[in-house]
Amino acid sequence: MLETFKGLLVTLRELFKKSVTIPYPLEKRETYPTTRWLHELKRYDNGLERCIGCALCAANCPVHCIYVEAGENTDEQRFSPGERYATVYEINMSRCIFCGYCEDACPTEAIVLEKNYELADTDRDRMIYTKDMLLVKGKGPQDGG
Amino acid sequence: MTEQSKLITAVIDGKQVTVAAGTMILKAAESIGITIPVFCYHPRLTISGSCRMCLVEIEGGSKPVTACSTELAAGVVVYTNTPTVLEARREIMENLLINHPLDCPVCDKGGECLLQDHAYDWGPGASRFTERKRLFRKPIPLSDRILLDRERCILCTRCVRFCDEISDHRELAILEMGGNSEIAVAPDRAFDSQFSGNTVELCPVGALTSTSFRFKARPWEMARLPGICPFCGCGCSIDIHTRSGNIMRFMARENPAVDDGWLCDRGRYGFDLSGGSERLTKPLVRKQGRLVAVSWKEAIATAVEKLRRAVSQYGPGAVGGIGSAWSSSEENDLLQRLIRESLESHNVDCSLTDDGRPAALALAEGLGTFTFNDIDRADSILMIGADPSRYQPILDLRLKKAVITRRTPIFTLASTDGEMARYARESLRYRAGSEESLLRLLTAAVKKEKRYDSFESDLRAGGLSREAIDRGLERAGLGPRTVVLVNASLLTDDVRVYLVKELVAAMGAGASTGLLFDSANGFGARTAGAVPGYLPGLRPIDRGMSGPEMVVAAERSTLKALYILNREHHDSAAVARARRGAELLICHALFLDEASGSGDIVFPAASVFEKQGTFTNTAGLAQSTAPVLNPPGEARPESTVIEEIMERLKQ
Amino acid sequence: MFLSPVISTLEEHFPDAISEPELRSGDPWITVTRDRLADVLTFLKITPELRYNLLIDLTCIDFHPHPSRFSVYYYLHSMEHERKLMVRVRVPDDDPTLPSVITIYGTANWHEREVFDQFGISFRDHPDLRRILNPDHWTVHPLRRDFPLGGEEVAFTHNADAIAVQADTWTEPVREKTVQDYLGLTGEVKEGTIIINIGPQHPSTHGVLRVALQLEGETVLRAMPHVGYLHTGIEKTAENLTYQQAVTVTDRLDYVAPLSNNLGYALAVERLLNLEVPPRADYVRVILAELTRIASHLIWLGTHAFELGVQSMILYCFRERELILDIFEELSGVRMMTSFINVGGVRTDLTPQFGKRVREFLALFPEKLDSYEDMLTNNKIWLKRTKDIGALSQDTLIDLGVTGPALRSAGVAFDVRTAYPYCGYNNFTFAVPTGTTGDVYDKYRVRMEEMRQSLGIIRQAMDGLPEGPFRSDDRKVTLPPREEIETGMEQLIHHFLLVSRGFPVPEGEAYSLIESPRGALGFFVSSDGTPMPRRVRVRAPSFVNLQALEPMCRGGMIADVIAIIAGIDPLMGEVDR
Repeated sequence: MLETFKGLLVTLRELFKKSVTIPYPLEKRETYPTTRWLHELKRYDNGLERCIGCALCAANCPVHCIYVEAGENTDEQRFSPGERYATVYEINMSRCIFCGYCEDACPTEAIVLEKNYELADTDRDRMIYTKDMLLVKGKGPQDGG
Repeated sequence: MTEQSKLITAVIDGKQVTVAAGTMILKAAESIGITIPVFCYHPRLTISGSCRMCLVEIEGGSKPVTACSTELAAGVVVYTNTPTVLEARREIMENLLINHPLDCPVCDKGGECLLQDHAYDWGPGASRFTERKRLFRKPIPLSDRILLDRERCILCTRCVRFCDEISDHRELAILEMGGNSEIAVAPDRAFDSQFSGNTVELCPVGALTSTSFRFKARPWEMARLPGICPFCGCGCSIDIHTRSGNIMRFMARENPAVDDGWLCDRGRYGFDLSGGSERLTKPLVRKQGRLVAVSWKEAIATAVEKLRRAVSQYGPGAVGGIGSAWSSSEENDLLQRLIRESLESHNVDCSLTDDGRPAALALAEGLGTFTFNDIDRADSILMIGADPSRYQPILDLRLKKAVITRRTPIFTLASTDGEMARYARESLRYRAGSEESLLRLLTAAVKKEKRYDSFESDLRAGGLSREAIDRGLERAGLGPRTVVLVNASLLTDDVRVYLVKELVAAMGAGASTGLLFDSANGFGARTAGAVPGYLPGLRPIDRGMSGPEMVVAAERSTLKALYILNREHHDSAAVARARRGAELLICHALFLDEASGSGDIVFPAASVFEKQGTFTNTAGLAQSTAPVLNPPGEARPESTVIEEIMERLKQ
Repeated sequence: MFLSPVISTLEEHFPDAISEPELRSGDPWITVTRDRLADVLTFLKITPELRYNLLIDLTCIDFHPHPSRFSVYYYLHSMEHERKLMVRVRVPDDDPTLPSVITIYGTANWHEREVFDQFGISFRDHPDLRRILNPDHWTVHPLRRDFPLGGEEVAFTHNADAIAVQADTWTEPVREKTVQDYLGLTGEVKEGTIIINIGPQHPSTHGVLRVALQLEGETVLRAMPHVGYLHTGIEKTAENLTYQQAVTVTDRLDYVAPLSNNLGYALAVERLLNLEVPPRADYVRVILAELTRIASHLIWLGTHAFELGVQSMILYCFRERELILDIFEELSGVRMMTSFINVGGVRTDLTPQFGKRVREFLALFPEKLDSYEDMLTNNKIWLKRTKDIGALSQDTLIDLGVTGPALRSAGVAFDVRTAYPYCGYNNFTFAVPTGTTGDVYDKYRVRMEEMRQSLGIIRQAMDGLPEGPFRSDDRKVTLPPREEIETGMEQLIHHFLLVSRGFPVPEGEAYSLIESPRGALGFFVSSDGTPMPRRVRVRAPSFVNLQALEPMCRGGMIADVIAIIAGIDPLMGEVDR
């Protein structure tokens, strides 16, 4: 009998403690600097894209969810420093396992997994994220700059 | 020049090896499964010995020696895995990487780069170099097809040696000396050789890259399937690399019977058949004067009905079919069966502009026996009307190899300037049109007969004398072990065929003869019976109209129906002429253009890469290909369409 | 050449049957001819100086296109003498059969079924040789090397339309179900009994587990577990990834203890590479493994209690587990599938906050454990539901290959961390809690104590955490530091090749055994010299432990089945792979 009371005391105590759940989406839990969710293709400070279309991210990806096609920069239309940039860059988000191997592979720190985890959708085709959806805003030829 | 090679025995890495005397350590090691890393060495080029990567230790030796250029001596003990050897490889790698640019992520060679692979296998894991690397402007176009990146070049000289020894165009050279050495196009030359693409494959790093493949795909992203190049009569073996349903590039796939591992640029870079145009993806049928897309069921039913009507109204002699010397043997066979069996006509050919029959007669008379290997062994070579550098480039390389390495005498007679002229012992020009006289006079010269008559004066009018021919024969030394190569398009009638036969007979038994076809399957189209008067297997049958005759007849409306295979490889002007009078024009085409657009029924065809097929090269070697892509939309291989039409016609 | 007394003894008694003796990482390996296999194994089991009474693993590697195609491995452990032995048998392609050793080691039952299912090797005299992971009506053997990987092409904008939804064309033939479909080939209809299914869709089976019960009233006569509902071909997938990429699929095995799987796999590959990780990496691995153990036991406790009616426990346990997952997220960026322990060490160094958070957890958690015990340990209802339920003798458990808390609860103090220490566990002082009867209650007590012991290990590791590199500096295996690839040519080349092609691993096989929260977790990795493994075999403790379900349930009530399943704590991700 005493034992039963001891157990009920625990639950009673818990009843008056502060709740640990948070009312998402009204309140969102904190993320950490390392937190890995939706990718972003970063730029340099001068506005040029970091991505040079080398496709090492696609090579390292364990689920092969990245597709890259590369093209040549010209002096008139320059996307990235150097000769090469990504003309096509797609990630199939429904396949991505957010392991961060693409980030490890990138030699220019172009692809970085950022904090946006609100990726749910109802259409499988919309889960294919294209370059314009991944590239951070800037003033390159992509944005008419 | 063969001599009984002495065999010697030695020890490499504790394993005994027995090879012919004179074998280099590198090859000897390879024969027992020991791989030694190299950069400048290439099995089909001369030995350079400059990169030092293949250093090995010989017991009792004072210092390591290069395995590629050191003969294995009897009884020596060689080590390829001692600390000294490993240290040497480390240091060579470190040395090569000092000035190498950090280009891997942007370099096309990444993933298939010998420098990367050897750096990983043998080099240090980190760099000690803290100075500034040398810089060049890059990339430099050596031609519109080839780009040079001087920073990446490790000066292995493979490209220079290729141009010197194989293509013999000698456009590339090393300029400057020592630390300033650089590869460049030799002064007063251009790197416009049709074999330039081979240097890209040879280059062990990403110094030479092709504009065609630039940035297209990574090696691990591509599927690799074997194929046969369909762009000339050589039929070189290729590896077709595809990605996402498109061909990215061709690479060589060594076939000693044909290509020695080289490709010409026309074949290597010619895989984009579209040139930007859209492929036909649906069958088209002309209704009320306009071509309308219809279902396959309807298109085939219409074709069957109209062909049947043409035959019943006008008789079988009013229908004709044209195969193609650029289509597979299976397709040509089906075409001739459609015409001969289903429609009971004898009007079959493989070209609209030339009579395909004489070349078939020549094959039937045994004039197509040569192989490429015969070139390597020939005592001498006689070429008539041929310009392989334009129409069979890899054969051209083979001929050059014979001249350069064995000094094989060549006697070439042509009506245009050709590259063979520079390599021939004797090169003579004759006037186009005087081929018959030429053949007769040649035969007479071989037989050492005197014949001063109209033939000789015909030739002399074009600047060719009997004396010159005699001299050529003497200098080239023609005889029973000569290879005779005749341009197949020279054989415009039966007479010429028999003249060639007589010439060859005059030279004595054993002469190997070949017809040079510029088309991928000229040989096979004929042995498949897509010519007037021959069934498959060169069995004689009633002779119907030839292609040119069908064009004339169609124009005059005596030929009512014309069925054309492979529309893109037939002369559009001829198609237009036939269209003017013909009631029914059916064709298989890849694209919709003026010619195919003039048809009554247009079937969307599968390209050569999208279907199975056998192609017989100009040396009679039949090679099969498998599809590497899917046909777009509803396009279907021609064979399935013809089979279905034949099936329906039976009912 | 003398290698070990065990090998010498065997060679003495079976001179023509033993060959290829060698020592690998301290374990003797031998090859036995097929015809003497049963004799040798019996000898090994009963001879007093040998006494190999635990068959840890029975598995197969396909060496196709080698002429002697299959090699079947029997990994043995002696409780008494605390040492292991690997017995290998070669099986040719043209006669893929072996004698079943189920009469020698009961645990061979499911292992042989799996080898039959995946490789097509038949085991003579096996009473119930059915497929276990793949659908029953399949005719192929997927883990054979010449069987294609399959799978659907990944969709991008250029091919999304072309990729049609692929229908499974292997539809099961429609037929009447028989008693064998429920109870296996040994199933029989009995007068006065009924057969019912628990699962596979069931809130209390710890995943997609199906148990077919033959009941006489409420009493269980037979309880046949059916597994394979979560089989996703992880082992085959790993054969088509590089060694470092394969770490990401190991997360998905025992998915409530992902770092555990990472560790076991990494150790096996490092053994093949002969690669030593720096001491700091070892300590970090231990800390993470023990945190994972606590996190896994919290799920066990929460769901176990919940299934027996204590509905509040699941919330409390998950609340505490949340703290651990937060620690993992702050460190690696991901809560569960971190892939943080990889070949060569760990992926990044510890974050500045890590130590503080862990110590906060260490300070807070013992009190929570006390409150859990307050609720359960002496509670009458809890005792009624768990005491004397599902108890088996030590010998039965060892014969069935059971390891982990399920075995220790019966009094056998076998813990891989102390028996065959790895990762420097021998640097830490901790007790291995044991029970007495092996019933569900003792399993509960053992796991509760294990959580306390884990806290102790974590504290010791945090206190003794050495400075230094967090991963091996072998540049042929680990990626170079990021700043170095901007200026170092060699580094860039190695980075390029490591991410695109991976590192080649010397040919050979290595078996790493670790103590996961569920028992002895084994990774048997075979390399063919290329950057992708030939075989990654996962010896899942839950897979083996589930074989004990039937003996534990026999004679009990239906309600006890739930308690017993919870007591075994299976995780279907590693059972089915």
